[in-house]
Amino acid sequence: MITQTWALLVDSVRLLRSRYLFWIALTISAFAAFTLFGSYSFNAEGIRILWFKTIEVPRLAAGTPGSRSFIAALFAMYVRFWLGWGAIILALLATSGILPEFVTGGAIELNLARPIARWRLFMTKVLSTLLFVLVQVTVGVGLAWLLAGARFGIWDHPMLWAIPLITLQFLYLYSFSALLAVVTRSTLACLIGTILFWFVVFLVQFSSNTIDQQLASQESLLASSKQRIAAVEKRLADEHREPNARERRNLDRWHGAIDDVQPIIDGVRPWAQTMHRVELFVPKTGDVQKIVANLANAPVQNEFAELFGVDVNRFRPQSMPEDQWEDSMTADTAGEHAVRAVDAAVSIGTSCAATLVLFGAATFVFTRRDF
Amino acid sequence: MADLMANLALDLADVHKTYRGKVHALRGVDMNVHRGEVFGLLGPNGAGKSTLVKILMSVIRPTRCSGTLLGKPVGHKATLARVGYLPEHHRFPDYLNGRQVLDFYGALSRVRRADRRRRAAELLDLVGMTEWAGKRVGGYSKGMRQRLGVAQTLMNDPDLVVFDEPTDGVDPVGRRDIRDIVKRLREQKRTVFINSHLLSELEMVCDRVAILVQGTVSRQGTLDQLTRDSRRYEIELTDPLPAVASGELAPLLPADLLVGDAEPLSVEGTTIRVATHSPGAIQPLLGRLLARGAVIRSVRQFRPSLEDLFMQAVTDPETGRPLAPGAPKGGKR
Repeated sequence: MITQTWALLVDSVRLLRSRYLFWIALTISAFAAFTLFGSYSFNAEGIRILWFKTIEVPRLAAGTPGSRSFIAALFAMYVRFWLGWGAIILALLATSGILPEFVTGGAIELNLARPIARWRLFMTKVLSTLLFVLVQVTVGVGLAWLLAGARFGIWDHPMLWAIPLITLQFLYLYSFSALLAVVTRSTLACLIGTILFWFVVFLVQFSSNTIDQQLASQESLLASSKQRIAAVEKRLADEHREPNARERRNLDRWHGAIDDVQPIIDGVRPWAQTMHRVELFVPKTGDVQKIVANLANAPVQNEFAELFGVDVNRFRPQSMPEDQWEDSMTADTAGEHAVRAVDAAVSIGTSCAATLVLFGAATFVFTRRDF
Repeated sequence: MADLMANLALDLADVHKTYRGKVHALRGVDMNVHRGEVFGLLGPNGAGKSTLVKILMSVIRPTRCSGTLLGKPVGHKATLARVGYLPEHHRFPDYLNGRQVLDFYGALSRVRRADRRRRAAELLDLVGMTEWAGKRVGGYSKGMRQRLGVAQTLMNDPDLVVFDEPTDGVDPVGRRDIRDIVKRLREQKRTVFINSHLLSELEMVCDRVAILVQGTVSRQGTLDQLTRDSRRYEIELTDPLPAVASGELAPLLPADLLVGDAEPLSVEGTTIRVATHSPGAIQPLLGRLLARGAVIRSVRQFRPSLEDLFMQAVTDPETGRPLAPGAPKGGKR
């Protein structure tokens, strides 16, 4: 049994070594890690690019919490845009032909006519294909982690969770590819079908995120307006007086905001609940990157801009009152946090369940099918 | 009974396979292969040969089957560790070299690492592929792949070897080499099961054959058994025999030495055919012919070839035309 499992693993290593895309993806992973974590350093003034230019950003000076947040943000972006998208697309391109070739006529007979149960043969083959992504992610994340530790003294161990998590993200998609492979035995069908599946999954998550973001923003605006009304009313009560003209204008504006926002919240909330239910049944590929970002304590977009000392208030339109601008910025950040908020256990648990169903179906077809 | 079972490498009874779409590929195959013999499976295209072989190798699930393979039920996975199999049109992974192919499939057949190394070297030498062992299979010719395939079947030192079109794409030298390997396997008391279209190849190596036609075994046995009823003597004269003389000849034949249901004696032009495989049976005839002044050009014993048997099996006796390829649709015949 060990002999057979080991043989399939060794075969997968030989297979991925023979694929140009494996080496291309590995090179890009390493290059991106070096660029993002090895091409600059922090000093007393801010960030020094390579060895020649320092950009003065006091909040990012060496040893500050800002520098740590900066690294975490870059790591989250590296995982999101390269490992979570680019590398996975390359991995799908490179691996979508593996199972169709395995089950194609002339090859499958050689594989099935062995003293090994079909389900074990199939599962071992599928899992050994994950080596492609596992090696990529281990090199990419490992390098990022080592560089962050060695250069900046930031030994952020939770970063390493990205290795199993991104591999899991690929597994979510590969389960569908495996099902297509045993049904169609076509590489093209596997590739196009899996990308379509990913697109559908993305659409579901994107819709859910957009609704969540909208809901959280509106709830934040509602809460801000209510807080402001309560504060003014308390002050008026304490001072035993009627509101002056300016206060009356503000109270009217905040009440107006509540009147505007409440119906939106009431309308959006059922959609949010519906989308959450729909999401339970799909593998949540996008959540993986959020979980990694949360584990790395990466700041959200608005917080990342603040690290550079960007004064967002200068973008405030002249006609907009300061409190309204402040509330809208708070609502914006609340929306970003709502999108980032993921219950890791629920997300991974339900995604794994969906993945298991797909793998189960693929294994069932493989074990029952006449080749 | 137990001894008989133990002596059978393959004992198939009532094997049926119906594909989705109600195509009856096999319609009750009964077949026995003895241990240590070379067995040939023949049949026209669509007769169900590949389906039968794939059922034996658990690549296809039978609709019904009560047979055994090396004493275990067909489909028993562990038994496949004792079986070597060369599929038709096999495809090895292009990224492996010849030695790695042998190592990989040997490992899948549970051969230990040290044994794999030793066996791979021996078998590469056996099939004349040692020089190519380090080259990727993607660069091999079809004949080279076939040689490697033959080596692959022997990696697990099998008791039963199943070859599906082993000489397909192989040049005459390669064919002879494969034939020699089959003969060597027989000497080693291994069972060899060959599915091939090349009747002359099979005739040279097979101890017994079965002819599969439209999903059932049409004939099965040794070449000797299968041709016994069709064997005859042919006497060739220089001039046609007068009608009166031919009438004199038939009573001269001893009834106990005649074979088959065919006419004991037939005359066609200058050729006299006698349905017997006993040389003693034709002596009185020869004497009478000489006495009548006939000049005998030749006397030869005729034995049908495997091709003749095959053609007989696949020809509709009523129309004299070849049977339609594939199993007929509908229920059991």
